[in-house]
Amino acid sequence: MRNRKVCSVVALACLMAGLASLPASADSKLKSSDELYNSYTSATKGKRIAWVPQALGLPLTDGWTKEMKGEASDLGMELIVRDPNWSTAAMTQAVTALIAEKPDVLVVHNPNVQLLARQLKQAQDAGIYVVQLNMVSNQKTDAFVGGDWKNLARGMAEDIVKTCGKDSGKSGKVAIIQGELTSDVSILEMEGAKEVFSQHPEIKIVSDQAAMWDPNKAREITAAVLQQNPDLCAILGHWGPMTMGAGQAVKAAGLSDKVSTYSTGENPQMICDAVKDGILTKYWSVDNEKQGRDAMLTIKYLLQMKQPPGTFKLAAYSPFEVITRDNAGDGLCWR
Amino acid sequence: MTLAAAELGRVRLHALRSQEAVVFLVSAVIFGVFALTLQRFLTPGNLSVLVFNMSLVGILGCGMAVVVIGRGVDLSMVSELAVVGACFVQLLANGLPMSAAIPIVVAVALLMGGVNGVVIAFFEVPALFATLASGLLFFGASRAFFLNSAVLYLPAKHAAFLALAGAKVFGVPLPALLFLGVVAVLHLLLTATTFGHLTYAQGDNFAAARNSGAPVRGMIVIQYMIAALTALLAGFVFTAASAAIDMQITHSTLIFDVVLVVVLGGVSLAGGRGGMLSVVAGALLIGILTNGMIILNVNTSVQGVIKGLVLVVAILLDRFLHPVDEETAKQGDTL
Amino acid sequence: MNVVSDVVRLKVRNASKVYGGVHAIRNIDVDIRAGEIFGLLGENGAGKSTLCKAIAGAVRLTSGQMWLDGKELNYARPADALADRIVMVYQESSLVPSMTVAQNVVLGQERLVNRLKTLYKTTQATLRALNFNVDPTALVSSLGTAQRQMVEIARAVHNDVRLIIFDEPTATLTPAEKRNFFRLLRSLRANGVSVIYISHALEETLTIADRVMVLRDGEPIVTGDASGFTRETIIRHMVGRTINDTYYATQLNSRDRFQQMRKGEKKLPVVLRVENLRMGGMVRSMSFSVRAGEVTGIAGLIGAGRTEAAKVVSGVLKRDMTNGGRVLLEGRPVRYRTPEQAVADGIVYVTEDRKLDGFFETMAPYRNIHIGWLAKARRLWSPATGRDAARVANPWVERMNVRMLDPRSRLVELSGGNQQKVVIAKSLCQKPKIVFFDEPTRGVDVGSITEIHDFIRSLASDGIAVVVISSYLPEILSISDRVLVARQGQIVEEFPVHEASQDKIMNAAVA
Repeated sequence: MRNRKVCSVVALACLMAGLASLPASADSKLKSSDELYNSYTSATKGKRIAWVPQALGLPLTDGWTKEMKGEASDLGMELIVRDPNWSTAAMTQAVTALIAEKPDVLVVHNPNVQLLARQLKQAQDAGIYVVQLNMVSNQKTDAFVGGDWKNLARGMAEDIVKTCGKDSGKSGKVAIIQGELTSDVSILEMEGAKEVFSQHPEIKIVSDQAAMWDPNKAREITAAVLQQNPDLCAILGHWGPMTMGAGQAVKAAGLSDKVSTYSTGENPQMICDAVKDGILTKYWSVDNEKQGRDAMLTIKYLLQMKQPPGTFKLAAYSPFEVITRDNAGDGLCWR
Repeated sequence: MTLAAAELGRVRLHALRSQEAVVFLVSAVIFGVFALTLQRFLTPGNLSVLVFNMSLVGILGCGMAVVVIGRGVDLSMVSELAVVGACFVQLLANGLPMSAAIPIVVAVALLMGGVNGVVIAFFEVPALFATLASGLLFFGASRAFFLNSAVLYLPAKHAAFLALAGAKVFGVPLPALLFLGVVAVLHLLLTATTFGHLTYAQGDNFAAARNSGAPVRGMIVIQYMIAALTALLAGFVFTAASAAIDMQITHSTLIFDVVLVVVLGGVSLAGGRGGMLSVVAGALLIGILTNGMIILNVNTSVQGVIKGLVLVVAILLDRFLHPVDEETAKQGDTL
Repeated sequence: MNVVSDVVRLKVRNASKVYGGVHAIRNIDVDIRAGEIFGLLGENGAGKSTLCKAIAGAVRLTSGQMWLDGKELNYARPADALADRIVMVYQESSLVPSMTVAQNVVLGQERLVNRLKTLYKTTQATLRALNFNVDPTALVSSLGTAQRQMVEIARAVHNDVRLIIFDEPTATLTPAEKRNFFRLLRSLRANGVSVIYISHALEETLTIADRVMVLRDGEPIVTGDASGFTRETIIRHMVGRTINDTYYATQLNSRDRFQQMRKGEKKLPVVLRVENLRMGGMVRSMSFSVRAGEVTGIAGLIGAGRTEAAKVVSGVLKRDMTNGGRVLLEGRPVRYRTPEQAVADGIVYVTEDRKLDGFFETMAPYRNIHIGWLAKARRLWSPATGRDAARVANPWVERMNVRMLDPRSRLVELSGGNQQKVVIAKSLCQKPKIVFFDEPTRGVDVGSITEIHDFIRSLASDGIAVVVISSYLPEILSISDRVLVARQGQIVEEFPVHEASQDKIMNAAVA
């Protein structure tokens, strides 16, 4: 199957619109290219970016951090990283403390739609630009950079229908392994998948449980589900590293060629290896190094526009690739 | 009146009272209900999944029980598991052979258990705080100084190691046999050696054991080392089960499950009560419940609620069977 | 002086309480009059506490009825009894340590808003009326035992009690405090309050009480005016037999003992010498020596530093780092950081509070004794089975005459005397050279006391150095060869036992 490269919603159009609405005077003063360059560097140099992932030490967050750190240091910006190490309490505290420190930009990686809603609003009120990565809060802020989860899930679901649905000769049984019931990714992916499945009554969801992003729990759930449904056709997981746990259970049960394992997520090398090894069957991949770059670009625009936080609601939905056994060796993953 | 030696065999059974018996009975009833109502519950495949999942928590529970019988508690066990598992994989990834990596991680486990024991026995820090803190310490130190990532994948050339989780002996998964092995060894240690008898004495009345001249400090260190060794074994099984180790496990509710299994079976947190059979009883009940709930597709949060309720019932049962009366209440009863 | 009226305040008929098939009390009938002090006597486990707890609503009777001033009582909890103005003052304080005296006095009947000033004023008035010297604004945690008791009593008086029950109220009081306490009891009586008084101190009870009742095995044996009893008759009723050679017929015995000692005159070797021992504020430069083959008694008031000194010598506590003095074991200076080392050197300490740091409640008596043996052996990895426990413990159970209905029962289910015998056996199976007994017969029934005393004497004749710490002077006099008196962290006096008397010891013990 050929790679499908879809650049789904590039909402930088919004950004353009925002730029256009700025007072003309600000632009008209820029006469030479030196001046242009100077206005760029003066807007960014010495600015402080605070970055709070859910946890460091994951390919996902390490990839983002690497990109952001590299570009920030090139531009003379300071990147403050706080690692709450999966603790929501520590995360809330870190964000609250950072608001007091008044960085220029705050980048967060929300675990769920509710947790940081209040703090994010406070940050904007305190004059800090807020960029959300990959998972969006109920509180929408200056910018969102991340996957278009709903659409990705639709893609997976359609593929599952093709593999398991009518005329496939398969049972149509699907197990869903969610991340966290209240996380933005899981909510959107459920909406997207259900949208498709609801039009295909032959697809039966035999299990729908949250593994709390934990591969071990995913393995445990899958092992039991496979015992109940040896004719399971597909597993739809919400995050690659977690779904690999499910894949291991499938492999352990000796059903690798009968059960297809689908997931979305970022693209470190181990994912491509897992697809190659058949632990994962098809993978809707979002390049998280590119996402890091998108995040930095968005930050640079926000800083140059010099409008108070809360003026815009920008979004940059990430492009995606579908990784299969055929293309897993083609450098779609980063090392 | 004197006592014939033969009669003494029954002394311990009497002292244990009947909590384990109750839990075994409840397990049998639930097992029966599931067997009758769930279609594919009573298949060899599902039963082997059940005992497999049970043995992971069970192995940890054995180590925890030794510590709890001595009136301690080890909340760092899951951290220990993650650290030894991750160090093991990292060492292999660095190119060390299995034969070199194993002794090193055994030493690491003994070191971590030793640190716990020394802090608790010699610096007299309450076990609850000491192990809560040391868990973070072990995790943080290993991440900061040694591990490349929080998620480590077993190098493909060591695939033979996966047999530790995947192999079956006469149809029984190897981890279940390991669990039984740990139960047998520790049961012998607790009931038939000086160390075991003194551990019960230490848990029953620490001051009295100390006054009697028991080497309580050394014993505490040994107890935490035993806990760390079971964590090591569980770490191996975990790593083998998913061909990877994800340190996010330190943030899961696994430690809650371990305490649940231990307390449920009748190893009272007051110390000096229960034994390895209690752990088997507790692990069996929780294993059956969890498996049944996954089959019934009960969502994760509700599973948590049910396990929590079971723990509350276990504590009430403990209070009913070991009523705290004025006569036996001791002062200064803290963990 | 007898102001006892004939009005019956509390009437109890056919009261029985059954725990697990055993009668704690059985068919008790008793009338307690308004304005009398009623002494309740009996061995440990005779049912005194159970009866009183039933009256105070802390325990429900299995059968039987009670009336207070003609109204039938049916209490579900102590608060109900309190509402009827029945109060029980327990051995353990029921005060809230983190509250002030005044707050404790009004506890349970606070108004929505308490004005502290009025609160302190009324409490002050109550305390003064009782002639108690306690500051109503002081925190209870800062008070000593005697003062806490005063607060408990003030609370009862404040609640305008009709019936007050004291459980062993004088056990921890100094003689002066005791006198004060008895004065208070009399003033309560003068106010028409009925007082039930549980005590092991027989003489005291006979002095203070108007009438007494003796219980044995949960049944009433005899009730009558206190003046009609003597110590001997009471004991006879309590134990159901006359003890001819009572353990406190001391003077003659001790002289005999001294004579015997002189006869076999040989210089007894000093095995332990303690020089200028210091520990915190409790032990201040304490010096004494202990000889093999004799019983050294240490008398003194509670808080004189005796227990602490014994614990330091046996490694349970640590002496002061600097200037802490010396301990010489057979001439060799030793400094133990743990009891483990002391036990290895043959020094054991038998605790004064066996529940707290003496026995293992979940274990059978045999296993308790076995633990002592295992701890001394210190071979952690060698096998140890129930068979071994029986082998080690059987001789001791026989020698100490430990009585138990079911050998598999947990130690906590045995009587106090048998528990104490097991705790002693646990230490002695470690083959010690020096044994410290701290209050060896506290909470022990009369029958076992004699046995334990005999046993302690027999240890000395076997050549073991024995130290007995006791606050009960007859005990000190009856078993010691040599009596030391401690006061405020020092040994202030030493007598050969034939020269010692209760008066002399008391004189030395109080400043």
